[in-house]
This record gives sequence, structure tokens and C-alpha cells, in this order.
Amino acid sequence: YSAPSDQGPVLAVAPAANVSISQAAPAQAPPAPQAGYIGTEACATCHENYDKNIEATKHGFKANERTPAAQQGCETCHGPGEAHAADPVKVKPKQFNKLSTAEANATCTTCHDRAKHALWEGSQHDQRNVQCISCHSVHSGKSPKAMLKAANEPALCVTCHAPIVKKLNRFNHMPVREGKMQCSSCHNTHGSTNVKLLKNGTTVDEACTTCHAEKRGPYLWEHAPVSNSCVTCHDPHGSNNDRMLVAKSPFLCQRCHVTSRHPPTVYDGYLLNNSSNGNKIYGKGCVNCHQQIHGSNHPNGQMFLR
Amino acid sequence: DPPTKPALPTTPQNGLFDVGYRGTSTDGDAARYERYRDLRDGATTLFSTVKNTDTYRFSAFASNMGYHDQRYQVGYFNAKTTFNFMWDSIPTNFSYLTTTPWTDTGGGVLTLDDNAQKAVQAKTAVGVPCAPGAPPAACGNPAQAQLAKDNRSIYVGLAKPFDMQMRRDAASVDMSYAATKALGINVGFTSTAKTGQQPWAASFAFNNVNELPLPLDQRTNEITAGLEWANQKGMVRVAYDGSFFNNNIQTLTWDNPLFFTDFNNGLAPPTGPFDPSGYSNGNGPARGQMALSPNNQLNAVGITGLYKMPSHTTINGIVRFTDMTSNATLLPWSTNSSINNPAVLAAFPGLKALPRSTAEAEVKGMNAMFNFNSRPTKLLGLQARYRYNKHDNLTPHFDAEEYVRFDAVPEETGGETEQFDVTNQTFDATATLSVAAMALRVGYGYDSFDRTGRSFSNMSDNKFRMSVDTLRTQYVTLRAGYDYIQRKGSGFSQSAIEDGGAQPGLRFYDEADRNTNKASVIVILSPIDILNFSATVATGREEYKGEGHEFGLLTADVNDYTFNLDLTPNDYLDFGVTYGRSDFSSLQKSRNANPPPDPTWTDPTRDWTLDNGETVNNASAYLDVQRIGKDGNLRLGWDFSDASNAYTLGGPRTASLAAAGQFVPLPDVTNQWNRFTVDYKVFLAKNVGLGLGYWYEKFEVSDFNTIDTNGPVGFAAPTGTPRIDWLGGLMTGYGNRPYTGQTVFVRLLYRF
Repeated sequence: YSAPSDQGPVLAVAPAANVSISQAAPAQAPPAPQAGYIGTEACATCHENYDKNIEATKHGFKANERTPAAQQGCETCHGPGEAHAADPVKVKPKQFNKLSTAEANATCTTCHDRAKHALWEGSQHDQRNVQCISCHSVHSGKSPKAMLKAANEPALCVTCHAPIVKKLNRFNHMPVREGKMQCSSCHNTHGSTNVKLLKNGTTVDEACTTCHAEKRGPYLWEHAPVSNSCVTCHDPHGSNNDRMLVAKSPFLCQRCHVTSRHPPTVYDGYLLNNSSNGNKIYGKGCVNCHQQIHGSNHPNGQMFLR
Repeated sequence: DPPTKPALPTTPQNGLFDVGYRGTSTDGDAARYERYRDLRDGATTLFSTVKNTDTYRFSAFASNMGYHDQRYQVGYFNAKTTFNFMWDSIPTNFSYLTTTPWTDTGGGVLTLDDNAQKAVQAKTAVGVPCAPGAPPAACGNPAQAQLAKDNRSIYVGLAKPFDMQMRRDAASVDMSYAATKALGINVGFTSTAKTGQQPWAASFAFNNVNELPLPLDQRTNEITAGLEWANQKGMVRVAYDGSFFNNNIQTLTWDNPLFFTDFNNGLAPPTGPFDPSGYSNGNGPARGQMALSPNNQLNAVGITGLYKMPSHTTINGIVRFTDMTSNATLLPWSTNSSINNPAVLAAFPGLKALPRSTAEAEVKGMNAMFNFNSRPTKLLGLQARYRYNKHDNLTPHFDAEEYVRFDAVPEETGGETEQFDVTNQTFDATATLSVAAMALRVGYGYDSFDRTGRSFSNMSDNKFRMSVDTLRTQYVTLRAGYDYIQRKGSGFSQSAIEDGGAQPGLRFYDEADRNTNKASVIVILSPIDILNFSATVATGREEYKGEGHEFGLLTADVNDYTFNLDLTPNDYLDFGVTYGRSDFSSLQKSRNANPPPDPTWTDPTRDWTLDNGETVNNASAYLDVQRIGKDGNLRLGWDFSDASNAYTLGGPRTASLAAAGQFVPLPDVTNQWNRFTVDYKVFLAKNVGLGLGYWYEKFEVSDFNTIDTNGPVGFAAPTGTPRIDWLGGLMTGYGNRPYTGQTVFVRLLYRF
């Protein structure tokens, strides 16, 4: 995924939250170390810049009692450092890239167990052995937000979800490559009540109609697949078909509508150019007439014509 | 030794002013180039700043100020409070090549020139053409079609060019307050306005389709509020979500290009004064009415909990109740004077009055999910999930046995509204065995869907899966998974299929019995620190072969490959290249027939198939060079997508059409997109820099859906000049058209 080219001049600099790395707040008095703890300043004597790097992030905001900085600093996450300082070679602090997934993640979820992280345990990513540090780098994140290990979300998610992320470059797409949406606009990768880790609601429809509220209804006349799932007909990640349909109209409709007369007609080049039936294949295809395919509130809306 | 220290910026920076000039040149479909952005010539601005203190942090960001894609953000947090504000505009530019003879007079009323309507009705002018001077007639043969193409509609000369654009403006505020270390409150409010126009179909008959610029004036307000308590043992959150959609244009009223006055043949029911075939031949009303998206609202309350137990065991869950309502005032059956008269209403008494005046639509939902997650030993992990989702449609039935089709014809062929209830229950269990740096997972899931209004009253999925995942090591990461899903329906109702007029052998593909096989392998190799190579291979097949399943979608296959190489030789150089290919194919079957007792209904020689095959090749590459010279950064990017979609019609019906000289294969639908970007920044002094940018995009497309195809059978490449009066249609000219776009930026940077 060609992440840098998506930035362009507009996003060529990191947004404000990540700009001021070396202008972090003056250090407050560190918390009194407990037994076995040596404090952040001691860590920084060898681990140069790590303290400054953290200070600029939310982890380093000492005024908030929930942050590591307000507790034991580096050792909040890495464990007591006294033994390591005494013998740096033989005794190692907690190194996340050498821990098991469960151990590493348990450290993070000690604090990150509420709000959008509340349902991490048992979530799809948790089940697949994904570590917090698979996606985040607390010390050297590359993204403007969330300390991701890539410049933006698609560039990160493509690591495992290439078939999906590639669709963003298809002809009909959401404004992700324009920087107006990102994967987390729809998904909560940390666990959700919905399918496919969708962020909002408890069904696909509920998630989609968060933005597309005009299609939420409920309507007088409903189209059965619409009331079940938008993705029966649409691929929200991108498609070469108009309106991000999973197949081209009228053939998508003909997958289900094998009734009589015009729905199961062979729509070919002959009809397209030599008959008024061409209007069922050009432009919007079936939706040239059945415009209200998402549902209708008109008394005559049975066929979604009004 | 301590690990390599993270790099810090060479120059302290608290903010940035970035002002400059942007120039854009486009050949072809400029709106498509700008699809979700505003690239007009003019000044560009970007502003960014932060303020960090011991007690609070503040940030502000603004970009593209004054343009349709402007964005403003403010963030603040202190020890207890977090505040975020964002204003974001997202345009959707449909087309700048569109024209329309309809005039928006406000309030959702679109009118045509009266004299043109009168001339068409009097058959002294062509309206929506199929035969000049004699609208509306069928284009029954190539000669008539050619005649229609040669004689433009009177509305072509009256059509006015306009830019078909839509815009979302969303303002959001969210705040949180940490009352104590354990207790937090958060509230959020988002208001989104959608204004502009979008292409909208507004047909009067089978051969009188129209496309209009539908005016949009909508707003959605969303409120969220939550109270959360958490400590080391668990968490509880109580939340409310509300979403309120308001549409200021709930009715579309539009003039019929063929009639200035409602068609009236002077006869009595059942043969008049309306034309009983008016839904087909276009003898309809002077204007139509359509119900647009109704106001609606959603309210939801839920409670989420998490409890941590010994032995690395947790349970979490949520219970949520939703209520969706919509109670818009219903439009009348008809405004057509040839229907709204005593004689017709006596013949169709159901049309005298609406059964009720408002929609009274309501859906209640009850949703619950519980997760059990345990890792009793380092070797073993156990997970179980139960999910319950009930979608209970409470909208009263609406009797439309007698109804009006296309505002033109009263009929008794309607029906009652249907409520689609769904109750979905999911049970899922997974066992994970962790050995060394590898996790082996085996899982089983069962999904049950109880529904009303569908052909299967119950549908269930049995899901088996297994996967192997390694932890990311320095050298290799492997993720492989296989899923097998067997879908089986029960409670099948043949009448539910046939009552809708469908072939008895049809099965709707979203509920049909099917077997799904999916597999994927991801390998990431990092033999040395500076090199990262990954390969992803995924394949899947859906096979629909339930009992009695003859028509509809039969198979769908997908194969996908992606190869990626990233090279980072030092802190200042990044290079990456990716190639991918996706292949999709599907087979569906249909029968071209008239309803029984017509013998074609059961005639297998009327069967036809569609074999759809799509291949998409994509590639991308990037090069980042930092610190060129003293303080310069260069970014190069290239993206490429090439798609070819083939539609192969087959079967005996296709063969018989071909034998009669009435079959022309559809051409492949293709598109190719190239994007190349350059962004160079250099700081000439400590605080002052220069930026140069260049974007190039080229898009080529050939699509038979595009209405300006031409030639004997019409498969020449799109010309880019829309034809709005096609066979039996009056369109806006919106379609899939090629473009070449270039944008340059010259920017002055000041950092502080």
C-alpha cells in the first residue's frame, strides 16, 4: 500500500497532536519510586530519548493519574528496573517483543480495558494471536494518532488484510484514499458488539446507517435483503461496479429476480442499442425505475417505483 | 546494550503554517478526478499547532480552509477532562458534464418547460425519443432505434448544464471527564448536513425513464452519552445513543416530459380515462410524486461489562435495546386527475382514502453478546461467545391491494406490506493451543436465523475453522487460516417464492443452502532488519446447491495474491513496492419466460446463464527520502489498478437469440487507474521552507452502462460527451467517463 502518496500536501505534516516531540512539557518531579523501582530518569541514562519520546504522548502526561507517567514511568509497563540497572546484561526488564501474546497484551489491558478496548478479550484479533504491539509502537509510532506502526491505518491493516485494503483503489470506493475516512471509521479493531468488528450498532445495517441514516427507515415497504444486510448487494471496501455493488446491474438483481418478462430477460448488446428495453441495462439499470430499492414510504411503493 | 534510541526531530516544532497556490488541469471527467475532494485553483492553507504544559495539552489543525473539503480540529485535555472538536467537509462530485431540462423550483419540485411538454403531448415534437414525432412508441427494431438516435429530443436544447455535487458537513464534539480514577463520563454530539444534488431515477413507464438532479437537504444529529466505571477487576459502562435524521425534502414532484396534462382517453373504467397500459407505453400523468427518505430516529440504551477472574479468565458482555421509528406523513395514492375522479374511485374503492395517514413504522431490537475468555495455562486458550440479535418489526400492515402503478394506472395487483423480522443467535467456541511461538486454533460456530417474510423461515450456518499463527519474530511470521461454512435452510415455503412470481427453482442467494470454503496464508519475512517481504494468498468458493435450487446464483469464486517488499536501508530512506491480483468469477442461471400458463414458463430452452469473470491487477510503489541536503524531504508514490470484467451469456436461450440474429455479446467492462504523486519539502532556513507538489492521475474506462456509447451496436469507447436522450430515456449525462488530471502545489512553510 503506497501510504506516503496518500498524504499529499494536506497531510504532509503530522497533525498537531504529534508535532511537538522535543518541546514536551517540563519534567515534573517523578513519583517516588517503590521498592525495586528506579524511576524514569535512571532508565533514560542508558535508554536515551525514550523518555522524551514518551513525554510527548498521552502516556507521558503526568497530570493524568491514569497514565504510566503518573505512576512508575517506564517501569509501569516494563516492570521494576533496579535489578536490570544493577546487571543490564543478565537481568532484562519486561521486553514486549519477547513475551507471549497473552503476557504482552495483559500489560496493556491493565489500563486499556474500558471504552473502545472493553471487548478486546475474545475478539477476533485476540483469537488470532494479534498483539497490541503488532499494530502499535508506544515509542516510535509513525501515525498522527494512536501510535501506529505505519503512517496511516490502511498502510497498517494491509499487512494482514491485503485483499480488502487493495479494494480501496478500485473505481468506486469510500473516501479512504482521499484521507476523509479510515479503517477505524467503521471498524473497532479492539473488539465490538457487531459482526466483522464493526464499530457501531449490532448489525451491518445499523453500522452503515450511522452515516447513511436516510436509508435507515423503517419503511412502509421494505426490501428483504436491505433489512437483513447491506453487504448482500454492496462491497463497502470498493468495487469496479457503480455504487460499490458486488456485481453489475442488472445482473446483480437477476441473481434473485427470476420472475417473468423483464427481470429474467437476456440483456445483451442487441437490447442495449436497439430497444427501449435498453433502459434496463444502461445507466442505473434496474434502478432506472426501481429507484427506491432501499425501501419506500409511498403507498404505491410495493415495487419500489415511488 | 540498550536498544537503538528513537530518532527525534532535528528542529523543535510547535506548529506549522503552510500556505501556497494550487493549480489543477483536467482533461475529461473533472468531477471524477475530484470525486471526494476540492482541487480548484487557488490558495491552499494548512495550519497546525500544539501547546503542551504540565497541566494541559492543546492542539489545533486546519486544512483546505474555505474549500469543499475543509477540515478543522481542536483538541484539549488536562488531568480530568478531554475535549475534541472537528468540522469536516466531504464533497461527492458526481459530474460537471451533466445537463438537465428540469428546473428545481424549490421544495423538491422539478418542472419542465410548459411549451415543450405541450408540443410533445401534441406530437409536434419529440420528447423522450423512440420514434420522432410519435412518442411514446417502442424501439422495436434497429431501424427505429437508429431513427431515434438521429432525432434529438426537444428537451436537449432546453437542458441546462449544471454541476452535480453533494457535500457532507459534519461537526462533532466529544468530551470526557474522569471523575475519579475509576469513574468516567463521556458525551458526544455530531451533526451532519447533507446538501446538494444526487442522480435520481424518476420513471413514468417502462420506456420513459428519467434521471433528475435530486435536491438534498438533510441533517442527522447524533448524541452519545456513557457512564463508565473500571478498576483492575472489571468494568461497567452504561450508554445511550440517539440518532435523529431529518429530511427537509421528503417529497419529489416532477414533470412528465411526455404530458403537460394527465393522459385522458375519455373512456370509463376499466379502459379509461387512464390508459390501462400507461405503465408500459408512457401514457401517464402530467407529473409524478415520490416519497423520499422519511424522518427517522434511533434510540439505544445498553450496558457493557467486563469481569476479570483468576487463571487469566475474563467474561465480558453487552445487552442493548434499540428502538427505530419513522412516522412520516404518507403521500396520497395519486395526484393524477384521470384516477382521482368519482368513476375511477368507485371502481377502485381502496384508493378513496389511505388506510392510515402516517407510516407508523417501528422496529425494536434486543441485542446481547457474552464472551468467555480463559487462558488457564500458557499452552491453552479457550474462548466462547454467545450473541443474540432480535430485529422485531412492529410496523402495522398496510393494505395496498389496490394501488397505482407509476402514477399512471390503478390496479388490483398490489398487496400488503411485509415485516421482515430476524432473530439471530450465534454460538462460537474456539480452543487455542500455543506451542513455542505458534498458536494453533480450532473453532466451531453455529449461527441461527429465524425470520419472517422470507422463503426459508430458518437458516443456520455450521462453521468450522482452523488457523495457525506465529508471533512476529525477527525472521518470519506466518498466519494461515481455513474456514468451512455450511448453510442450510429449513421451513422452506415454495409459495413464498411463487407468490412473488418467481420460478419455483429460484433460491435467493442471501439465504440459499450453500457451502463455503475459504483459506488464506500470509507470510512475512524479515531476513534482515532493513528488509521486509510479505506474501498473501487467499482463495474462496461459495457453492449453492441446495435441494431444488436451479435458478439464481450458483457459484462464486475468488482468488487473491499480494506480494509486497519494503526496504529501509537507513533512517532516511524508505522504499516499497506491491503487486497484487484478484480474480473473481460467478455463475448464475435464469429463464426468460412469461408467467404460467404460458408454456415458456416451464420451457428449459428458455434458460440462459451468465458467467461473470473479473480480473483486477494492482500495483503500488513509494519512495521516501528524508533529510535531502540539510533539511529536505521527498516523497514519491505510484498506484495502479487495472480491471477487466467479462460478461459471458450462454445457455439455450442465448443460442436461439443468436440464431435469430438478435444477440450481440456484451463487451468487457474495463478501467485502468494510474496515480503518481511527488511531494518535496525543504527548509531553507531554520523556520522557513518551500514545498512543491505534483499529482497526476489518469483514468480510462469502457462501460456499456455509460450512456454515450455509439455505433451500430454501440460499443465504441465513451466519447466524454454525454448524450442525455437515449432510447426511451432522458438522463443527466452522469456516467463513467475517462479523465486525466494534474495538480501542482507551490507552498511556503513556516514552522515555529
